[in-house]
Amino acid sequence: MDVIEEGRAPAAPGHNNPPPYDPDKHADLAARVEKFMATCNEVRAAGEITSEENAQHLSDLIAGLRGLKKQVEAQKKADKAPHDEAGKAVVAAFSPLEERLERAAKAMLVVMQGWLDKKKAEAEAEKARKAAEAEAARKAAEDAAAQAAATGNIDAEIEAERLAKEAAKAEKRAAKQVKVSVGSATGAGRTVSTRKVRSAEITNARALFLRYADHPKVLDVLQSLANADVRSGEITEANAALFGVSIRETAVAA
Amino acid sequence: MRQPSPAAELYAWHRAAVAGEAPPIHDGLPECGWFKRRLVKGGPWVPVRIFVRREIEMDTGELLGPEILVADVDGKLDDPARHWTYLTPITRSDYEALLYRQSIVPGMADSQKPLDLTKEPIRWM
Repeated sequence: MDVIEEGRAPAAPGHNNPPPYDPDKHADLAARVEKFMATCNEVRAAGEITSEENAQHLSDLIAGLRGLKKQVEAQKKADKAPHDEAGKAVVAAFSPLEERLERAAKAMLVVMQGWLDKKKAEAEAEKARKAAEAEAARKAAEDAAAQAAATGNIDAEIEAERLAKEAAKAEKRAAKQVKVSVGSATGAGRTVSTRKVRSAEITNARALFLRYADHPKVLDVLQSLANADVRSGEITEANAALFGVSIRETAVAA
Repeated sequence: MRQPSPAAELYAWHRAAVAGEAPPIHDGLPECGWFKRRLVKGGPWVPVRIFVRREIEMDTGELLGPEILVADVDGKLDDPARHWTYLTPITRSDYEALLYRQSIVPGMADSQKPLDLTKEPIRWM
C-alpha cells in the first residue's frame, strides 16, 4: 500500500513527460549563452575597437563564444544520440516491409502493362475499323445527296439527310480517343490505367546550355565549379579571362 | 670595487627583444626585463619581471656584493633560470596592463588552472 507523506507537495502537471534532453545541462548552457549574448550586444554598441588591448580582449571573447558553441553542439549530439538510435531502429523495422511492397507493386504493374498493351492494340484496331466505317458512311451520304439533288425526289432527299446524320455520328465515334484502363473487381480498388510521361533526351548539350545559360541554378553550378578550380590552381591569373572569370581575394577575420 | 651595471646594459637584451630583433636565448642565462608566461597548459598569462638585486654603497655608489638576478613570477620571487626558456618578452606597459587585467578578469587570478573562456564572457567595457 502506498504511504502518502504528509506535507509533500503534489507533483506538478507534466512531471511524467520530461523534455527529450538533459534539462539541467540545457539550463546551464542557456544561462551562459544569455551572458555571452548580452556582452556581444554591448561590444557592438560600443562601436570600433580603438586599442590593441581591447582587440585582445575581443579575441578572448570570440574564443569563449566558439568554445561555448562546441560545448552546446557536444551536448546536443549526446542528448540526440538515443533518439537517433531509436529512429534508426524504427526505420530498420519498417523499411524492409516498405521496400518489399514497393518492388511487388512495380512487378505487378509490369504484368498489368502487358495486358494494357494488348487492350490498347485491340482498341486501336477497333478505332481503325470505325474510321473506315465512318468514311464509308460519309461516301454513301455524299452519293445519296448527289442523287437526290439530281432526281429532285423528296424521299431521296429525306434518305440523303438521314445518311448524312448517320455519317456524322460514325465520324464522331471514330474520332473518340482510345483510353484503356482496368477497373476494380470488387469496387474497392483504384482503376489502373496508363499515363504518358514526357521527358527530354539531350541531343545537343551546347545548344541546351545556351538556352539555360542565364538560369540562376546554372549560374550557381558554374560559380561552384569556378571556385573549386581557383582554389585548386586550375584557373590562375594567367588563364582566368579565358574562362570568363577574374580572381578575387578577400581577407576575413577568422 | 665594482660599479653597478648600468640599466641600459642590464635591459639591452629586453630592448632588442621587444624591438623584434630576436636576440639569442641561452638556457640558464636569463636577462632582465618584463615578460609573460603560462604556468599550466591552457592557463592564463602571468606577469614575470626579472631584475637585479644588489647592494650599493651610498657614499661611493659601488657594489657591496654580487649582482643577483631575481624573478618575480606572479608576485612570488623565484630563480629566473627555472622560467627563462618559457618566457615571452613584453613591453613594460603591457606588463602593467597584464597586472591590471589579472585584477579584473575572473579566472586569471588562479594561474595554476586552465582558464575556461566559456564559463563567463570576457568583459572589458
